[in-house]
Amino acid sequence: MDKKTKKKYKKTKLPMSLAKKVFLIILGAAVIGVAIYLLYYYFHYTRYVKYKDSLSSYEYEEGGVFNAIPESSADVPGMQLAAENEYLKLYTNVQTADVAVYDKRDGSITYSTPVDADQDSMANASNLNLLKSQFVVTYYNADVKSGTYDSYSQCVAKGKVTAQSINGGIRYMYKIGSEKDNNGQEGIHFDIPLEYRLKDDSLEVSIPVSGIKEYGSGSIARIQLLRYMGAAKNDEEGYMVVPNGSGSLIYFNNGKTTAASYSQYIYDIDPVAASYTTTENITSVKLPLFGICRTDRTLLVTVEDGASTALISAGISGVYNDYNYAFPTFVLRNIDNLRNFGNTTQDVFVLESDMYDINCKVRYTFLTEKDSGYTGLANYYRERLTAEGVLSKQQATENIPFYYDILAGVKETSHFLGVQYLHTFTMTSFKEAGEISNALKDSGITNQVMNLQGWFNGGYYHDAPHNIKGLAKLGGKSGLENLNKTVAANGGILYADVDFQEVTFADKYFNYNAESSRYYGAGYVVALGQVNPTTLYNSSGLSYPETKYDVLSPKYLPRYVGSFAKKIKNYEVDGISLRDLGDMLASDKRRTHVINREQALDVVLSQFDVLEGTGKKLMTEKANSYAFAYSSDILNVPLTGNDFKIIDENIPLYEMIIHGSISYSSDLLNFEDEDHMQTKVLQMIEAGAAPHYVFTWEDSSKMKETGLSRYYATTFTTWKDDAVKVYEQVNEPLKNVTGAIMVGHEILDNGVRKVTYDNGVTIYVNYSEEDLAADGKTVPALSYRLEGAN
Amino acid sequence: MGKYFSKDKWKYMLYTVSHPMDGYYWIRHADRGSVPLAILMVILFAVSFSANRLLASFVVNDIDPRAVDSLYELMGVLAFYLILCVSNWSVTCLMNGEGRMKDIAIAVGYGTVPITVMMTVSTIISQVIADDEQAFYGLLLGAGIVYGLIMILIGIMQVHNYTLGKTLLTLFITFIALLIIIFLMLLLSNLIGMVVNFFKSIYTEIIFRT
Repeated sequence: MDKKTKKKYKKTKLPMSLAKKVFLIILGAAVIGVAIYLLYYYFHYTRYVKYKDSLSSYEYEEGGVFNAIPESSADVPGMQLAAENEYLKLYTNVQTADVAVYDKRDGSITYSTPVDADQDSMANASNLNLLKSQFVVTYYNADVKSGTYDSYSQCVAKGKVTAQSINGGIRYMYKIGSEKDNNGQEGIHFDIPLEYRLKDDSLEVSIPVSGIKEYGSGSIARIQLLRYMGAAKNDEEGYMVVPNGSGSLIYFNNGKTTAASYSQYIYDIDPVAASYTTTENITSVKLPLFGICRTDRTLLVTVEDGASTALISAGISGVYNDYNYAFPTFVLRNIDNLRNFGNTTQDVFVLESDMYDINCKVRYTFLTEKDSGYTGLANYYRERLTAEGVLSKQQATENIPFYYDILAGVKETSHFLGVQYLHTFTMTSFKEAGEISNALKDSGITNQVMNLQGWFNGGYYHDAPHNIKGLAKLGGKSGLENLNKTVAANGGILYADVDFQEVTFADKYFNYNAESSRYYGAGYVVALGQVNPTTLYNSSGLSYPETKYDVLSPKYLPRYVGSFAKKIKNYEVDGISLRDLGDMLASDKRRTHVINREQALDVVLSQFDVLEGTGKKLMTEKANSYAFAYSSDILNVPLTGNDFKIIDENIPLYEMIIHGSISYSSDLLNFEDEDHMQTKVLQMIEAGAAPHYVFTWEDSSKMKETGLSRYYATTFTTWKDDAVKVYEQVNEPLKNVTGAIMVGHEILDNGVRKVTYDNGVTIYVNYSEEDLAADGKTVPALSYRLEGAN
Repeated sequence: MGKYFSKDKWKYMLYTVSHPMDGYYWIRHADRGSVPLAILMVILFAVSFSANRLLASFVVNDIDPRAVDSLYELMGVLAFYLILCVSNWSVTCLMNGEGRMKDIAIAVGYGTVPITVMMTVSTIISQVIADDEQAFYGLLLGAGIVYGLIMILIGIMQVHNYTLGKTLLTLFITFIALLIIIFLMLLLSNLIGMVVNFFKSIYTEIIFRT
């Protein structure tokens, strides 16, 4: 090719064909589109870390050299004084790392480990080690096989514990485990700090996780703390108070040695750590506390930090040893299973890589005779919460409130040209809800609390509350505001219901891949639903996809709560009812971005602040203790505990704490058996709970083929008379104690329950089928007796 | 488009319904049929099928409406139509069948016409019948289905120039071929799933081992 032709060849550029042009344009648009989406994803999801503003932190104090405080004669024999304040003296033995607290007010001594453990009549060698240990560590090795180290045999007996001085107390550094294993390799061992500090009338015990060091291939999974602190020997009398549902008692030496020990997660198990199957229907733990009550003194134990990842256990004498004991356990890592390479027979176990960085803190408060028993415990705890500003006294009202849910919009499956879609229809319009309110008023119920469910975006199973719009077919914004006025004029209050953390599958705009919590192992999205009665899987829709939901990650909770709070300000409604926020606490185990449950709790609390900032009253459902400070009303409080075999009595501990500060209701009475109704009414009278119903204007059969088919009896006209009757039954005694504090609760020898209020009213409740005497007067069968009312 | 849906084609389709033997013969030999029209007939069949399941009166219909979604049913019918034609074609071209793919498609598609018509009629009739009169509904529907099946049988016979016995034999083999195709498709999708799962597993393995 000569130069000329070459040049010519270069010049002849073939014109681009049309197809090629179109192709390039489409390709370019696609590339730009993908790039924009990736940027959007990065900024809208990955970089959205607003939740971090609400996380709390703690400091790890540097320790000094420990020197005992010199004293002429020790109040606890054989121990040195480590700290002292107005009420208490903290003694310790630096060889055994035991501590003892001497109460200056009554001279009683509480030991961290039983002093005469060696004389135990039952304990075998390993149980004896547990008796002498301050804590027990459960760990996993490199093969994810678990093992335990007790602090006595693995550390103290080897002389590897050192004392340090810290402000107001003492810290022990435990070097637990062996530094060399049998093969001369580095063995599994840990450095664990355990701190004791005196604070007023209590001892604060903490394990700051940032001070824990892991060596070898060991990973700590959980720590049982002070198993036998204040444990009662088999010759003592008293009981343990456990937060089972409303609260329960386990009597010392109750002889139920074949029953399983008590053990429950505080605030229920994390949904991300729970099993896929639900085999029992239990009421969760709402209060982070337990107690060991002797006749003359009471030990109140509250989990101050890390409660959301802790469990409470209790056991009786005669099983492993001679002691009745209760203690907290902190879960610092969870294990998850993973199925890989299509292997369906064997799971791989995966352990979380980092421990939850929390300051596991438990506060042991020593109550004197003035606050003895569970009544004293409840009174003391209420006063503490009041002093902290969590609870504040309510005004007395003429009558107790009447709680009712209104189902407004409900989703049903419809067809358009035969193609399925979910359509929201009206069960109760705002106007009809107003008529229900008026009808109740005409029947004499003025103190009404209406919980309006399904009022925006898609009805009961509503979309994630990002952009709320009152449903026009129900009456729109003006209809809602009129309803609010109607209820207020009748003497009640309207709460508009919203669910934040459970996002229904019916929400087409929710980016569930990005915004849901995930499991640690296989990284699946946490999607739950109804419990299928045949398979027990708790992620079933039972043919109603709207009842399935993704669990919203705490990371995105501030976004939804923030925009909901902003929008709700424009609505003139007096209250917001939070379907899940007071009760549900879920972590996010997305591997690249783990948010543990204690952090989730921080996020939830800050969102409560945001919602409180709207100036509206808040109502929660089955509220855990952290929601008390924000709740004006609580729905569905537990009236009893679960009937575990080891439990001896159920007590309304939860109600004793909040009565007079927060109004609360029973669970839905529509679905209570007729036979059981009288007992239920008595339970409500004993616990001071108001009745709670769910109503619809339309016939409930209209919901038959919908995700709310479980609400099969809701029609207002059918229920009105029954509901009013039950309300009057419950109101009759309880109207005398509104705004009063439940200062006493006693189970008399014949089973009659005596409830005392600070305004002088006493209510005796008799659950038995025969008349019983109480304090010289007769309490009729299956009924109550009211004393001291004006 | 016009040539596929011309008045002539429509008229000839109706002629085929009333004179299947003659009609199908000239479809094969004089291209009097139309594939798009046949596909349209199959779509109409799917629509009438869904409509029947959804709208037929409760006297004759115990189907849960939440189990019906016309879009899925339309896709299912079309997929079945495709697999049926392909499997019949693959069998008959090995067994001296004279029909082309398009002839088979037309034979089956036109064969659905009486079913569609009678299904629609019986859906309407069902609205006005009592419990005792269910037989009328069943008869109408049954007549449509039987006539449709006979049409398909005749259609297959004519376009391939088979005897009745050979047609029945090939239809039986077609049925087996159909199952084999479905089996292979399931196998393939399963294998693809396993390969995807394998790479996913390698990914998680790397994540957890590092």
